[in-house]
Amino acid sequence: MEAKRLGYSGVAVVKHSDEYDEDARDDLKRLKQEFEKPGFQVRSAVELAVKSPEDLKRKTKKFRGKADVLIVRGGDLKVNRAACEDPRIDILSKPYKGCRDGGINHVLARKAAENEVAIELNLKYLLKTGLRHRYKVFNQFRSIIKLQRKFNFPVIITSDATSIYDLRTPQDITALSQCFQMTANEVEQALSETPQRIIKRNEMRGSVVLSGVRIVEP
Amino acid sequence: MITPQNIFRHELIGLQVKVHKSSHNGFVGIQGKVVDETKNTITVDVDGAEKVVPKDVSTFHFKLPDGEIVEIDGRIIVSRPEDRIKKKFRKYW
Repeated sequence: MEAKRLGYSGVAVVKHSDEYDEDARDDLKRLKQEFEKPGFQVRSAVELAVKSPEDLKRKTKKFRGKADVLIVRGGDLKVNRAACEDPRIDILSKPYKGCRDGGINHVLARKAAENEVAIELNLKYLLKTGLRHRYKVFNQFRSIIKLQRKFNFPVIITSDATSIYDLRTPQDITALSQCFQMTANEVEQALSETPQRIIKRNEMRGSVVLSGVRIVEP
Repeated sequence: MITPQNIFRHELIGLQVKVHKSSHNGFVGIQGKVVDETKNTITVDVDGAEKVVPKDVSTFHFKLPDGEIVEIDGRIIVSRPEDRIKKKFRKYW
């Protein structure tokens, strides 16, 4: 409800892949019933924590049909690359974790644009990082934005909120994002267009046989 | 049997087709029966007149014999019909 007050039209409830079982799904259903109204959406999301590309493949197969949004926790170069190359994945989360640079290079950027994998800018990661190290985070975000301008992959800004106090209004985020040199237009894309595209793509997924082939009328 | 799962490998001649999108507006809306196919084009019979439509800039709506309508991006069927059967297609979306 707090999210609605701040001006959002939907939230995605993220669960870790190990915890995503029957109970979690029942919880989500309950949440959906309670909060889903015209003008406000609740979506389920799974965050995959994987160690290797093989692991990623297996888990993607397992969870693709079960959740609306598939998020991969990046950080390892090999995992980042595997995630960018898989069109079934929606969001690559924190590719810069544990890296000095943005975790994304021109190869990954091109692949991500091709497969429409959104790269996440995590606000919690930015705000919870100590002041002494925050400049690094700004650097990482900036390098991602720089690549985004050239290769045009989708970028998404997420709150990663565990409570209502982690949420920020879109205006706040727009203002904050000036710090990593995003224009207001780009922020709007990251905040509303990319999530919309992910949801739309997910709804279409049932009718798509393979890329380029779609059943229009059964 | 032509199904949406195998139509991109299948013979297209004889199917009803409609050009849904194209980079050239003149092609959009062409509707009729496929009478010929080459590597880069599809020939459509529109009330006796034959129109040649390039594949790689168009999106087609094919009507299958059982009434299903399948949208195909022309770019993925750019190859000779006899070679398309062994062409590799990207599996996931």
